[in-house]
Amino acid sequence: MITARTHPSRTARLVAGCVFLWALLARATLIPAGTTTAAPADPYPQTARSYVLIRDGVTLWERQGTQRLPPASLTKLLTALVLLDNDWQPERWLPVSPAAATTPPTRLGLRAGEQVRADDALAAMLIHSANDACRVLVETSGVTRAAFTERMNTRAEQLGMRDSHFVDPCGFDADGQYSTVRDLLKLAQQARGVAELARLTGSSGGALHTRAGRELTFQNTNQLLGRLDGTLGVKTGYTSSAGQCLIAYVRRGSHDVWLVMLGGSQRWWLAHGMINDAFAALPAV
Amino acid sequence: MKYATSLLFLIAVCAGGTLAAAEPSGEKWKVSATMQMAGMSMPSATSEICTQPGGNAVPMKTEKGCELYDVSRVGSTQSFKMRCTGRTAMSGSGQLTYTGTDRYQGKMQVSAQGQTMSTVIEGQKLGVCDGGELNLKAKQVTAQATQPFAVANPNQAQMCRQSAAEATSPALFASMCKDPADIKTYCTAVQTPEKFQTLAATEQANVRSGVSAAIPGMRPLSESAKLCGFNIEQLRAQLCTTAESAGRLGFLTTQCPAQATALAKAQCAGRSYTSISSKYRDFCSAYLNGRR
Repeated sequence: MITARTHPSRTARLVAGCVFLWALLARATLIPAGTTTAAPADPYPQTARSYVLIRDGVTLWERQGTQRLPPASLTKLLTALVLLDNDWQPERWLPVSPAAATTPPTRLGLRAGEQVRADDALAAMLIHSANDACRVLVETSGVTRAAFTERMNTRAEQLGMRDSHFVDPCGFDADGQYSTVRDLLKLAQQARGVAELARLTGSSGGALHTRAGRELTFQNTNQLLGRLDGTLGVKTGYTSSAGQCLIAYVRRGSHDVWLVMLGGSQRWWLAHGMINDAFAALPAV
Repeated sequence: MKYATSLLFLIAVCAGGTLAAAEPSGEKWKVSATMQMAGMSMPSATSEICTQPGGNAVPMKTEKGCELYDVSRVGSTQSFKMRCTGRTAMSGSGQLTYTGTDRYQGKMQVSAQGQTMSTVIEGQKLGVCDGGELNLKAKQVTAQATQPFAVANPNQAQMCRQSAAEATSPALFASMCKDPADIKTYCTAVQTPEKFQTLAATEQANVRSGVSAAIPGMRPLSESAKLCGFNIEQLRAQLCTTAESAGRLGFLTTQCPAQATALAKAQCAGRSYTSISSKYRDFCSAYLNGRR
């Protein structure tokens, strides 16, 4: 039984509720296009051949998200997953072959005959995108390169990467080496879920010591780290065919942004601006 | 939470309104509403309402200016559409699926001012209720809701103060808040660089996307200028003169094209992303993105 005395306060709350709903509708005018359920916009058409930007699990902006393109060194995230999945021994010493030592850049500068620890090589591959470290890891994985790439493609299939195929574990351009920003997003999110890979891809740099004691230091190729607020990783890539490629993960407060781009140009400036724009477009609460 | 609660309040009010012509006895329902907006789910809000049993009436009704139409029920599924005109112009549709005589689940989507809000609604009948008593209360609610906002109750005054300070919603503010002190607060706030930039960006986006200026709130900067009596271009020019020295490079980027171009030539051109001063990195990134 509600007494007459309670009516004013209950009424006030009800009226306030209606007004708040109105306020909500008014505030909705402050939410830029792209946050609705409509098809994602493409406000950065010249940024890259293909890109997708996800904020808090919602696609804000996208361009040619399922276009198959060379993924360059973004491939190394899958290589890392496959390595960790198959009898990974981080403290194992791995020999550097002449082929690995002469792999085209980006390189760490390993010399034929040296030995490096597996975990150091993994760090160099992910942080510095070092192709010589990548080659060492693949060559010493216990299977042929063909078998290794088969594992990669199997893993990719498991991740639902239906528009991807890999023939080179280190990301060099090759016939049959392709992926999409949508598929690479799945890969990156899987990799970020592995603590060691999340840590490495977010590191500013590292150091590798050969068994003979030579020290090689390296910096992260992801220039957003330390320069764009909230950047936590993940991976860069570049070849002449692939153009500038990037997967970036940025978290600010309770919000996060994923950006994947293939075939980009001026990627640092543009990724920086796009990600800032994505956070700036958050609705006022 | 308050938004979900608001919608639930609205539903409750309207359900009460429906009862105005009902028999004294009604069905007591517990209704849970979860609103989703811009990809985010608000926490569920629950309430108890009293509805008229039977018939094809939708257990929701909106306020004055709104109507439910195209109501149909096929089997256990009830569908309806909704539209509102005036200041709260919106349209939507809903569908309720009854999973028994005492339970339903449903979804309602409402579009307003270019945005879509989705609300998941679940209802469970708890028993009977005194429809007559709730009818009386609903009438009182409706009567109070139509009174001028400023005199309705103390909460409204508080909301006006808050709305004035936030200065995000001139249409709402101007229609509901008449206290000169609140208007002064609003007009002071809206002429700060931060609020000016926010409202200008919204207005520019709405203009670009072709949203009608006839809908209140769609030109928030122009509406604010009219309310407060300032000239937008004069104020913009004034704010631009101090934007760089005050470090408001975001304002400069979006509101002061001439100054932005000059600063970009001086600080961005020919510099690499890593070599540039961190002070100008955000600006140069935004400037370059805006130029593409």
